[in-house]
Amino acid sequence: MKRSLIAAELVVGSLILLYIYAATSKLLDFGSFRHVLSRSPLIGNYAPVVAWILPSTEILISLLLILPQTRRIGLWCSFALMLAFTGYVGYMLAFTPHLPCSCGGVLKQMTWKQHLVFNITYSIIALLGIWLYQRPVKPETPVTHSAAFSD
Amino acid sequence: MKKYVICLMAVAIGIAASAFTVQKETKAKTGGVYKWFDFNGNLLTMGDPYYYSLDPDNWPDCLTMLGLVYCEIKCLPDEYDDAIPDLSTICAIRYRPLL
Repeated sequence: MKRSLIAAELVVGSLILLYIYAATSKLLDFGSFRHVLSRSPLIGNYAPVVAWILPSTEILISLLLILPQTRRIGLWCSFALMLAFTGYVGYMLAFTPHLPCSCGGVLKQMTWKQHLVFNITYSIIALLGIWLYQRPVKPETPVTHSAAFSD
Repeated sequence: MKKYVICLMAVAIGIAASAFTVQKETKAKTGGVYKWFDFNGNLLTMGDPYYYSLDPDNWPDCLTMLGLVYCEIKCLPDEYDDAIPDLSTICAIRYRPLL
């Protein structure tokens, strides 16, 4: 019981770390990030808007993950975002592999294939988090049914 | 407070790590050529270089020297992308007519 709780906390912590790191890196080097986005064949036309939406979404999901009341929504959003990233990287890998990555910080050093594996791994981590938080919690003390049938 | 420890640690590590690992692109400062760019946006988008396009004849067609909304600007092209202007290097502006 306690082990799964620690695992769930670690899953959430790793997702928050990823999103905060990625969002801050993008915002710290915003000009370069927007420029690389503008060269993307998929979202190049919307680069000025997407450049703001992407880090904002990452920060918003981090906030959802931090608050215990919204953690489950945050995990679902994380899973959806990681799936979207995986789809995007898959598309880029299939059609335009020569383009530089628009992610921030050290993540930029990864190749497209490494990125695909990284995103799939984080999608699985988010899914694991959903599973850990949706599992029914077993009661600590045994329930007696005698009271229900006493009348 | 105890339940936020891992989350807050993750936030702190994420910010600190990004501050130390972001490598800003070093721009090659070359003596570029000033060009005229047409402005295609409105008052709110004047600061966004993606609302400008290179003037095909590289000559100002707007004549108004005073106004609110840019019509054309003369500046250096962006060092990453020649098709958009570097708005920090504007040296001449023509405005859209007010009336």
